[in-house]
Amino acid sequence: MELSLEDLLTKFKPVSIAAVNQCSGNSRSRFQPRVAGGQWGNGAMGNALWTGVRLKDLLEAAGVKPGTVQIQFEGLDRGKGPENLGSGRFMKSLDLDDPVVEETILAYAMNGEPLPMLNGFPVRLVVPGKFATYWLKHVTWIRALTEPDKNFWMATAYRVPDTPNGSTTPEAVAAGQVKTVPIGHFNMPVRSFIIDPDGTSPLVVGMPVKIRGVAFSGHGKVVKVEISTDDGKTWRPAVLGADYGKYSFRTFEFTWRPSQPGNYVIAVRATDEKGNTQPDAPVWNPGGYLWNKIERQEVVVLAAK
Amino acid sequence: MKKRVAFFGILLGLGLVAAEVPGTVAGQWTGGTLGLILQPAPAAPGGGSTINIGPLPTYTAELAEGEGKELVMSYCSICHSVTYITMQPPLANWKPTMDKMLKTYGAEKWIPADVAEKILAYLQAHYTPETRKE
Repeated sequence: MELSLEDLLTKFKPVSIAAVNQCSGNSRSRFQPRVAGGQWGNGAMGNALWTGVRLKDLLEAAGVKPGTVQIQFEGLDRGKGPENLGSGRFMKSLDLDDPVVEETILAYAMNGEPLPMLNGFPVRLVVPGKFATYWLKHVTWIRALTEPDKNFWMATAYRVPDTPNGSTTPEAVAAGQVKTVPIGHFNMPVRSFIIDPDGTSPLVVGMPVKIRGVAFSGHGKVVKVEISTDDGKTWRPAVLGADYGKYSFRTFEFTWRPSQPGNYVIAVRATDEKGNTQPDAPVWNPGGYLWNKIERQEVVVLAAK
Repeated sequence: MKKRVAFFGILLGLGLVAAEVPGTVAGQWTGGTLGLILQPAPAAPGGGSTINIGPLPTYTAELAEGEGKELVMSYCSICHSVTYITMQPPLANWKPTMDKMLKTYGAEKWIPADVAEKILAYLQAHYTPETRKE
């Protein structure tokens, strides 16, 4: 079946979903020992309102034959490498029985406007709760596969250890003991970030300061965000902001009135509706994926002299 | 040649950049973290389904000075921005990364073996934990 952009705009019911698009390697620079790959801080993520066509509606219109196990996506992106290698073509596949297939959309608008080129014009895949490697840009081909995708970007790249949190050790990797799965087997772990204060200016004793930030989870709605002003020893609940949907950023706010001057370490941790809470332990894997340790921010509080 | 450089210097000094790239317009622009981005010209009416998407960020890092820099800039950027080098952690041994590029991603097609050796020597000389400056 072949569809034009006009067909997508006019023949299918539009749906909108707010969802976070996050790089698998967001925060990779935190890994110890260090791993190769872009040394991201926490900036490799964004949140937007995506509008488009349900993948399910497209599959229904096309008719998926029995025996289909995966749906493969490919866009207009082409690399300079040979066609049969990962540097030539970029393809990703979702298991047909993955619940995310029900929520995936082929988006043609971002925040109510046509997708900018760098965000995947004219249509990109939005796979709520999954990492950005699945959010293919410039989607042009959707294929039904009768066996699991063996292409480089599924079988070799973006693999994570098959452990509960995708973590392992350098020793286990060196010993060749690590069984891996595509990162799509994981939903993005719950995370939260402190935006204010950012440590660039001192705080003042007795003056209220708003600790603010965002939280999200690939498993569903963030239901609790807690703040610590003593480096994670004690926690108090923050006030959650507007709920834009379970895969969206959710803002939080906590008013703190420091009573003593000194150095403080603020920490934040989020919990999602499935009961997942951020750990205070790091993960390690060779790809530098799935980081979600509790975030901290050092601040200085000065006396109000 | 010198005259031309000076001429461009004056233009930049005035905050004016001549619209030399087709599909862009003149304006005042500064280089940001994404590099110099020229402003796309306003869309013109017309038929067909060709859509002008405007310029893309150049996003290229300044590499360390040294022997082999030009080889790295010309050969590595056949496939990717050289920012992919500076965005790595300082790697003690660049050989596995070179092998990944040459074999896994097929860069052998573009990069002769003797050039690959010079590129590796450059990376070891400027981008290891001991040699990397920034």
